[in-house]
Formats: sequence, C-alpha cells, structure tokens
Amino acid sequence: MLTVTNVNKKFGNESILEDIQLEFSNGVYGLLAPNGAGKTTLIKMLTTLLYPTKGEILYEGQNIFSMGENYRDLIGYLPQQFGYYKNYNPYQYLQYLAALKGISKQAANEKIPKLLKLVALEDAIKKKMRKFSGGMIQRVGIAQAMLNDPKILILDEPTAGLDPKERVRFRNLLSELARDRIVILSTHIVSDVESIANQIIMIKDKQVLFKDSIQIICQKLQGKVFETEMNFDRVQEFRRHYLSLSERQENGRMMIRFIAEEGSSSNWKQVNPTLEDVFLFEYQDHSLEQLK
Amino acid sequence: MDKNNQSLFPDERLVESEINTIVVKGMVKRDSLAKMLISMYKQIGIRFIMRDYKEIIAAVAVMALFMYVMTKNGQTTQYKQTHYYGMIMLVSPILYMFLSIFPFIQNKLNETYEVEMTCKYNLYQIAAFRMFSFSIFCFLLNTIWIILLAMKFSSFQFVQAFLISTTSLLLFSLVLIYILSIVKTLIAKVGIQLSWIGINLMLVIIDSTVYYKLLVSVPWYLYGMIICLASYLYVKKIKEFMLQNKLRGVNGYVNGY
Ligand SMILES: Nc1ncnc2c1ncn2[C@@H]1O[C@H](COP(=O)(O)OP(=O)(O)O)[C@@H](O)[C@H]1O
Ligand SMILES: [Mg+2]
Repeated sequence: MLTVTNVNKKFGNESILEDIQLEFSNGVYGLLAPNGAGKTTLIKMLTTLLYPTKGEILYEGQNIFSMGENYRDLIGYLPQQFGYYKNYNPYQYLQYLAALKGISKQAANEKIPKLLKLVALEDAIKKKMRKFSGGMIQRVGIAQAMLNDPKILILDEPTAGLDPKERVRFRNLLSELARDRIVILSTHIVSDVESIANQIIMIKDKQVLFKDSIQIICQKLQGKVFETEMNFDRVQEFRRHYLSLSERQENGRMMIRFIAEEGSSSNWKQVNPTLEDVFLFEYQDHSLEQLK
Repeated sequence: MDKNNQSLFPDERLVESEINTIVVKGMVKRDSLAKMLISMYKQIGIRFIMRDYKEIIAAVAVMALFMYVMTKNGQTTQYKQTHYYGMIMLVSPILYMFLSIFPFIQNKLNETYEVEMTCKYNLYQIAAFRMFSFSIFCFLLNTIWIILLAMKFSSFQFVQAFLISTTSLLLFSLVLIYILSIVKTLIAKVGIQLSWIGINLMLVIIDSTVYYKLLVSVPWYLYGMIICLASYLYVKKIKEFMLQNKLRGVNGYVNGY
C-alpha cells in the first residue's frame, strides 16, 4: 500500500499542491486533471524525483525516500517526456535499462522480446530508435516501465502519441496488469481512464477534489444533466444561461447537452451524467455563475 | 490448562525469530564500498556502466596525446619548470572531470534522466562507480606523465610534482562529488567545474612564478595530510552517493530545466 500523507509542494513561493492525502492499493488509478493542475508534480514525488515540501509518502509504512533503491526496485515509471539514446535499438535500450534495474542479463534476454511483442514492436526490435515515430517510442516507454515487473506502475500521460487502435490495446493491457499491482496513470483525456480506472483522482485548486469510483463521482451531477434540441439561432442565448457540455448538429437542428440545477422545460430530457460531464463541469471557469 | 497457556503466550523463540525477520526486512542494508562496487559491476556489467566507451577512449587518447606533446616539446620551447607545476595542477583533474560529468551531459541531451534516475541503480550510483574507477585511472595516468617529465628534465622534482598532481586530482574529485550531491542543475554543475579550471588557468597565466612558489612552498607533510583527508572524505562521499538515501529528491524542477 502506497500512502501520501499531508503532502505539500511549493516551487519557491508558488504553491502547486496542498494537503494531498491519497491511498493506493492494487488497481488502476486515473489521475485526471487539466494541464498545469500538478499531475506531473505529484507523480514525480511518487517516483522520488521530487521531494515534498511538507508531508510524507510511505510504502508499506516506510518512507519511500529512505527506502532508496529498495523502493526504486519496486516501481516502473513512464515519464511524460520519455527520452532515449538515438543510436540504440529498442532491444539495446531495454537491455541497458534492465541492467540498471538490476535484472540479470539472462532474465532480461528472456523478458525483452516478450515485452516488445506485448507492445507490438516485435518487427522493429533491431531498428535504431532515431527512426521511430512518437507512438513507437511511447510504446518502448511502456515496455520499459514493465521490465522489472513493478509492484507500482506509474505512467504520466501514457497515451500521448498513440493512435486510437494503440490506445485500445494499451487499455486492455493495463487492466490485465492491474490485477496484482498498483497502476497510476495521469491524463487530461477522460476517455483514457473512463473504461479502465477503478478509481479516479481529480485535482483542482491544488487539492484532491475527488478520489472515488466513476459511479460515485458521476452521482455528483445526478439530475443536473439534460439534453435538448433547438434551432441554431437560439444556441448563443442558451449558452449564456447554461453550461453547455457538448453540442452536435442533427437534422438541421442543434442537440445540446448541458447542466442545469433542475429541469424547467418539457422538451429537456434528463440524462445520466458521465465522467466527461463532471470533468467539464468542474474545470469550467465561473461554472457556478453560469448555473444560476 | 497447558493448552490454554500456549495459545495465550506464543513460543518465545517464535516471537524472537518473528522480530528478527521484521527487523531485517525493515533495515536498509549498508555494505562496504568494495562490496557495493563489486555487486554493481556484476549486476550491471561494464558494458552499460561505461555505456559511452567510445567517448571515453577518445577523451583518454586526447589527454595522453596532450601529455606526450607537452613532454616532447618541453625542451624546444624552453619551458621553465615554473610553468610545469602550475600546469600539472591545472591538467591533472581535467580528464577526470570530463569523464565524470559526461553521463550527466548525455542524459540531459537525450532526456533519459528521469528513467535512469528511477531505476534501482540510478545515474548517481553509476556516476559514483565511474568516478571511483576514473579517479584511480587518472591517478595512474598522471603519475606516468610525471615520471616521464622527471626522466626528461633533471630540474624536475618527481616527489613534488607527484604530490601536487595527486592533491589537485583528489581535491577536485572531492569538490566535484560535493557539487554533484548539492547542485541539481547541470549548468551549475558544469559552471562550477569550469571555474575551477578558470582559476587555475588564470593563476598559471597571470603569474606562474608566484603560483609556482606557492605550490612549492607548501611542505610535503601538508600535501600528505591533504591527500589523506581528501581520500578519506572522497571514499566516504562516494559511498554516500551509492546509498543515495540522503538525497531529497533528485531534481528541482518538474517541466523543463
Ligand atoms: N520548476 C518549476 N518552478 C515553478 N513552477 C513550476 C515548476 N514546474 C512546474 N511548475 C508549475 O506547476 C504547475 C503544475 O505543473 P505539472 O505538474 O507539470 O502539471 P500537469 O502535469 O498536471 O500538467 C504548473 O502551473 C507549472 O507551471
Ligand atoms: Mg504533466
């Protein structure tokens, strides 16, 4: 179990995260927040790259910073910016990282082809990484993070650069992996975590806003999300009164999904809120004023 | 009666062994430096510790060539020995500096820092291993150079030069390892080192006779003491680097540098 207690992080005088309390046990955790909310900052503290200004991070009751290499031995990490040596091929790069992770050469040579197959790179094993596309490099990064069969797998925006097909593959892979480990992945894209995360963690105003299952988070907007249809000329006026979540054209009219405190018109259809709705609602500036 | 007692109070020996396992599990192991170096060598292998072996060979070759030329041309250009002691002070740690800092430059350029820093053996541990081996290697190389110089020039004091060279290398190594453990940005790391070279170079250029006198006036036992103290601190610091438990987070930034 990984526990974050009372963690604050400041850069100089600028406070980025305040009073963060989190607990992780096996399963997939989606760290969902817009850019600049502090996801990477939190992740870098979980990976010992950054030291909290205040508070503690414990693994099984021990401070992760004093555990040193014993803790690093347990984690797999894909940074937001995954770098590589350009003249290595993925096989060599994984061999190198396996060595750093303290994996024997023999075990590494057994494991690496399997991992590269898992991320569908078996055809590019001997290709120099400088010739790789962004998606291919990202997949090397994912393979790398799993080399040491980590107890804690931490992925910072792992789906960046993956095409839709690769994203689906990746999601399936993660749910498979999460059965006997902690998987933490950060993203600002709701659909990345919607189908696989057991828990969603949202950060807002430097603090943890939610840490709950998707179902429970969605209940916060229960009875407040509606859909309606109207002519285009009315849309602008409508937006001024209600927070529009999504809009699409249908048969020359506009379908709008929006938030209102209560249904006030007979052609509004109440719908079940989704995680996307909550995300848009929470991170919309002045959303409360728009509600009134 | 007996049975009840047993279930209430578990066997003492069992308790003791349980306590022992708990204590052992909770302890961060602290081996000797030699043990740590050997186990790193075995687990990582020289191929990946010296990942940049091509650059290492090139750098050593350049330095050896420089030393050779300096020795060979000494006579023809009428170098005075006053230049030489300052030069030795200046040159001794340069190769060491380059070899030690090179992985930090490389992984900065390739942005591999974060992955390498979160592996079991992180970059600092590798750097410590390399620094330790390079300090021995550079010590030997410098000593050979000084022997050559001493063979060539009769006025050249081997012992004096040896003390200067070794002190210079050791002091620099010590400064470098402290810098690496305190300063987190690469620019500051490189900057501080370049200023070491700059100061020495200035001293050599501005007034090599005064610098020479200063270097020579330091008695041998003082050099000896500095060497002993610096070696002790150096080994201690290398070990600390290996354990990596004192470092409070390895970068000072989140995005960018
Ligand atoms: N080294 C730094 N100094 C000052 N502020 C920083 C530094 N690094 C990041 N920040 C700020 O911290 C905030 C959170 O950044 P980050 O954790 O990267 O967010 P996210 O990953 O959610 O996009 C941002 O506002 C960013 O500007
Ligand atoms: Mg980020």
